[in-house]
Amino acid sequence: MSAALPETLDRRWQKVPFRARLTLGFAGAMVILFGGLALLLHVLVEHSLDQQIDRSLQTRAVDIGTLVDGRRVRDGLPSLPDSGGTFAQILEPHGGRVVAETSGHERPLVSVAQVRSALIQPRLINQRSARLRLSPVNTRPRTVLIVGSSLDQRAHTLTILSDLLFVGGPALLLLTCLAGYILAARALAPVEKMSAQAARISGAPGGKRLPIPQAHDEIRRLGDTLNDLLTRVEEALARERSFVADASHELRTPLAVLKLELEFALRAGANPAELQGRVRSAAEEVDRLTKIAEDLLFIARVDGGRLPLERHPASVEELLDAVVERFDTPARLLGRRLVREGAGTRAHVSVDVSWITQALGNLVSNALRYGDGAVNVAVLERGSEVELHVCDHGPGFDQAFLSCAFERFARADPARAGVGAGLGLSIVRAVAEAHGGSAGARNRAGGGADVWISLPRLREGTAAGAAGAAAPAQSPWTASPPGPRSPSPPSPSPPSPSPPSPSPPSPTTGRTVRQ
Amino acid sequence: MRVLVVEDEPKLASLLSEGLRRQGMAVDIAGDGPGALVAATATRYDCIVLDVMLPGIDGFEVCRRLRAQSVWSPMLMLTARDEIEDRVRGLDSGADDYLVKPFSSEELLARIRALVRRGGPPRPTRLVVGQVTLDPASREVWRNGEPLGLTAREFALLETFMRRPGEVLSRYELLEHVWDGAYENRSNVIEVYVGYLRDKLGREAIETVRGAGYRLTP
Repeated sequence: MSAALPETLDRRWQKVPFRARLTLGFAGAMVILFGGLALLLHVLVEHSLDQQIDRSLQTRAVDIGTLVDGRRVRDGLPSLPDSGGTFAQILEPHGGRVVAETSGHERPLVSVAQVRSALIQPRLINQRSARLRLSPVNTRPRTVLIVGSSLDQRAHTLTILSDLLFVGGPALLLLTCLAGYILAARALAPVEKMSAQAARISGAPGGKRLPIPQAHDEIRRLGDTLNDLLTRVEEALARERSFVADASHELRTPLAVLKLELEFALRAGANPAELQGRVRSAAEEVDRLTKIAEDLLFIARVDGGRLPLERHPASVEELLDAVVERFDTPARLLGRRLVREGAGTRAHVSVDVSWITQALGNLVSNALRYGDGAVNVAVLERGSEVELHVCDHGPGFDQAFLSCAFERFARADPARAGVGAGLGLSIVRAVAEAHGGSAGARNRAGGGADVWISLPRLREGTAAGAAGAAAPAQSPWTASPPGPRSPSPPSPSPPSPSPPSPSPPSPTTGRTVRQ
Repeated sequence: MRVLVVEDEPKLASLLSEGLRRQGMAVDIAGDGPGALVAATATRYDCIVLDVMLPGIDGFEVCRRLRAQSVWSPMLMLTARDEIEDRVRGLDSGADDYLVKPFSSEELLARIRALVRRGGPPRPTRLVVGQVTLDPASREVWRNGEPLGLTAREFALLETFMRRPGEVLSRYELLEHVWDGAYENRSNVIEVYVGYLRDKLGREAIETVRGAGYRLTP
């Protein structure tokens, strides 16, 4: 119960608007500060008033002492002069008889005992409305002088002071709090505006931004940061949207063809030849859909970091030789040539050989498909990186395409629709990045496209030792394409070494390559 | 009946034309946006089947440009995108119907027949009368190219006038089109709103025909 109470209070406190909390906290601090100051002021003034009274009493006592010094009491003492606000009396220590006084103070002001106690040394007595100073004086015999001062003035002064503090203080406090509230509200107004605007932001491209205040303060920085964030989110959303649009187009167009082919095939009166043609066409569309689905799944898997890699040290030289060997026949059939450049490199990389050869295969079949002249396959060693280049002598890339060549569904030439889905280069990049490398594309100065995969290079010592040890692991790709694995590399399926399709690259290969 | 099929995927294009020809239609094929613009402006097709995702100029743009050139042939859009915003965009750019891939040939043919029945009268997405242009989709109004701020009711009233320019519309007709049944015929709400429109469009824009009603001056 006792623990629950502060908790509910705390929760209620959290619900109070920030402006009000700020002002309340500020007001609390001000009350403590003001109260303390008022108390201190009161004490100081009181003390100073008391000191002032004591000083005037002392001065008066000295004056009167000088006046009556050495006089005989029996002879009679001179009457005591009045003086601003104070009064005086001289009493006999025995019997307490008044022997001299200022006018109006004929009766003894203190008791006999008090008089006697002051015979030795001065003492101060506070009465209800007066302060008295008792001191011995050198008359003969010794008597006691009493000087007193009314406390009315002091009480009046203190009343005024406390009235001022108790009325003016809260008023001032109220004003300060009001000012504090207004200031807080003004400082927070841009935040209110931002949150109102943020509620209206939909995420549509080219959408609204948060209003930025004029001042160069923390709130402006916050607004700028949030606006940058909004821009990035919008860009990501736009990319996602265009990906979904492209994917639906690539998937639904073959489906539409498939559906129409099957509907037409089902129609009565079709002859066997027509039926066969329709079914063949439908099967092609199924292949096309399968290919796109596999590629998309592959990219999704790599993006999700779930590509199972069996990495072994491999010689770059042998990797390239294998690719050249695989594509030699298809190239020849097209009347083209594969040229292996920069033989003799000793560089090694740690890769999953099947994936890398698939990626390189994508690049070579792209070059065969869209390039012209000989296709050069080359190695470039750059510090800790090894670059595997595939170059052709064709028209090269469109400048606009270069910036997005590796994006999913990027099409170099939109007019060449229906040939491929534009996933080939995305896969190349995905494979390179899964190996800690990267992929790049540019146009060569002399014309033609240059696309490469950059991989981290293995250090000489480890490479030499490990390469020997891992030699058996490399044999599958030099001898034959990798056997069925799960998941199997989706693209491109290496063209079979024996009778290659007369119009290489094969339709399956072509679908995934750059276009 | 002559139909234009605008489709960049050759197989789909030939299947579409095959299906349509079997119904006795004459079919022309355009493989891209520019080809479609040339073909559709040269021939008055009874129907245009238009794929949205075209190389070069996309289907929305082809549709907009054709309508801008007063090609009013009924237009059916084929698309792979089935999100609402895509459909809205297609219809607002001037298409008459919308079909998502994959579709059945029966449905395609039925929709084409329905479109052909309706024919091709001018039906611009933006209404233009004299100096005033009104876009029902974006709910904007311009006078001499200057945007005008109209309330929803003023907009509805102006749209009613602009759909029948030059015709005298009785107070009753206007009430029926712009206000719902809860409104009393006796109220002077029409006078008030016609007054508002005159303030914004100019005094001479809406003419009072004594004893009959109001008329938008063309």
